[in-house]
Amino acid sequence: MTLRTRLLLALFGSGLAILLGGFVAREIAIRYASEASIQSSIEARLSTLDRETCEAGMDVARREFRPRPEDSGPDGFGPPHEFRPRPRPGGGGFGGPPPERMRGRDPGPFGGGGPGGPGGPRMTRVFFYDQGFTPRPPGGPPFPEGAKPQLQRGDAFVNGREEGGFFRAVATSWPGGACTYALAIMPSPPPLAAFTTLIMGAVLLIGAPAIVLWFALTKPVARLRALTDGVRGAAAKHYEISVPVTGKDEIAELGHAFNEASAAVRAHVAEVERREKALRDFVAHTTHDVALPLSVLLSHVATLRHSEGPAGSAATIAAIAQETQYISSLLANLEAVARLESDVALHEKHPVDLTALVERVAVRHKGVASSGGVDFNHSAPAAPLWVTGDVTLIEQAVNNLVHNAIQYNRAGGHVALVLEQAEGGFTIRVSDDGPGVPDPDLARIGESRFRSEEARSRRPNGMGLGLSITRDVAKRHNFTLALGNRTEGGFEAVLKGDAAKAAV
Amino acid sequence: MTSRILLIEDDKNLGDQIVTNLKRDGFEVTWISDGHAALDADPTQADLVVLDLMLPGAFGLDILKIYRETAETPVLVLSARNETSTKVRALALGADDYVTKPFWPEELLARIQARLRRPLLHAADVVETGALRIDLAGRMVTNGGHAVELTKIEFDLLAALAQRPGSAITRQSLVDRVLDPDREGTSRTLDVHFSRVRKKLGAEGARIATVWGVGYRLVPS
Repeated sequence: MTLRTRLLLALFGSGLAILLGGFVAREIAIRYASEASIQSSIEARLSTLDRETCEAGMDVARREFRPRPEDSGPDGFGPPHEFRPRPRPGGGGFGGPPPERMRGRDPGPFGGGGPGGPGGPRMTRVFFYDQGFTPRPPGGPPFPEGAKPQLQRGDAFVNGREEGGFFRAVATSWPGGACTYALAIMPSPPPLAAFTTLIMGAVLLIGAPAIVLWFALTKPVARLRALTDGVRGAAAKHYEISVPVTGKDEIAELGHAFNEASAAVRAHVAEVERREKALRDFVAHTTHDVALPLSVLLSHVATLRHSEGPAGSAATIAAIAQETQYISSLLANLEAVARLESDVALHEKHPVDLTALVERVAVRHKGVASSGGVDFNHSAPAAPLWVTGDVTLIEQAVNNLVHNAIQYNRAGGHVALVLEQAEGGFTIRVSDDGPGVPDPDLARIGESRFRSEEARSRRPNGMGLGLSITRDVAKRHNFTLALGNRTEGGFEAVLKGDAAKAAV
Repeated sequence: MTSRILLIEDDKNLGDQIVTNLKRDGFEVTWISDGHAALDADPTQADLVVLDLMLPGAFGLDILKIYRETAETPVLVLSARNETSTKVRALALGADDYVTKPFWPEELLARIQARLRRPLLHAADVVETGALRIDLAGRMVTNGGHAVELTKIEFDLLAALAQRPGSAITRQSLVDRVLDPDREGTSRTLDVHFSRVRKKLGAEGARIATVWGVGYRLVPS
């Protein structure tokens, strides 16, 4: 149901209720007005008579109460007599307008009434009855049965309603004669009149506001439709466009609210898409990065399978060990990258025992170093050396330094990993007597770049991904990382930092 | 004495490998591959527990918690999760050490040995290697039963190595601990002193090894 239909229906419903209420009120008003009118009529009539006139007045009555044969009909009162109240000072009371006005009018087939208001100029007729409720003169309507007992009991009057209209039965002050009782009848307004009133009321009360409402709503409805179209358009474009908003009313507010909501949705979607892309990239790169050394590994295994004699196999096994180490280190680095990229701040900080950490890194690389002919030694204090940080990341950072030093060294070369307690902190030194890093590259390898292909590549003389991670981890822990060639030849990385503040 | 290892690892291949390697290195290994069975096992019957954290039927950390209620047996945690939170949680629950997968067999072995050896670290007043006998408390060195005359500095240097046989000791710490910084506190003089010690030890002098990039080490027999 549209907004306008709904409002019009509401208008119709409330209008109908008002109309019905009005109708009921009108009925009640008519009733009271009729009673007042009848009363004044009958009083006016009785005041002009006395007993004799009344008794004898049948002649008068014959003169004044002219039979109107055409009035016989559905009211069941038989040939009625039209009574025209005499003018009285102060008007006809509640009954209605002064009788003079009525004289020139055609009272209509029911002897009066018409579409006038309550208590309008309907003709009241008065009839007289004797003690036995017989109409005098004969021909009057039968006396209402319901009123008889009360009057006989001594009530002065009885008001009531019969089929044809309202009546007032009165016991006159001349009992025993032909004028013992008087009956005034005012016919009901015709039903058609009420219906016509209803229609007119409906037209006025509902029709006119409906038209006004219809036109008043035209603009807001058009704006709502425009807003709806805008929202649909925005949805079709994944909320990348805003909805045009005009004006300063509730519809404009709705438009603004939608724009705010869609901005939030956009931001959320963008974030989700960014993460999704990062994940896709990560998986793609990881697959690529792991597939490469795995292929090398497979080829070494194949060589081993075809080789004869232990001499050739030792070198191949060393290569296999190295490649396996590389894969395992790579996985750890990729995991570290994933964490470093998702975590802007370093959330997990705990006491880390560097002595145990260095021992772990050392033992991990011993096998590969020896199978590659590299003399790898390490030294750490006997006691734990505590720092605060993320153990996984720090371990990976040190791991990368050692891994690089061994990987880019040659058979017969040396690598040393040394942890020493320094003034208020620690020093981790990884040195080798390998080829070192050419000076132009030296500045470059300090840069933190995880994503570039260059950084992931294994042999740009170097160090790429692993070193980037080490640098980033150092930065996050407020460690300093110094990279440089040794004067004696080879490369040296020195990681320095503060010891944990509280003793653990 | 053979050390008894309780291994809780669900992966068939890895478990097989670990058992084979540990047995070859002289350990007695009981292998449980199911989490529920692990909950019923008695950790006090082992000298060390190697516990995989990812198990079907029970979470490794729960097993650790239950073991810790009744036993002091050292627990070494194996984890494929290289997450700091897991490590920190495991240590908080009473794990003694952890090894992250993938690992070399040597790595696991070294961690196990380090854990089992730990109580012995304190008592070493006398260190013997080859024909050498270094009495740290008595400040005496004998080579094949014959006393070796060393200067104070020479003895202190040898003692610094003997306190941690097999471990490389950095030049810097030797200089800091032994040499007088005002007079002869340089790395160069360190080499001079050690060459004298080597000479005095004769054939056993080879037990004082120069470690590239680090310093010196006493090679254990």
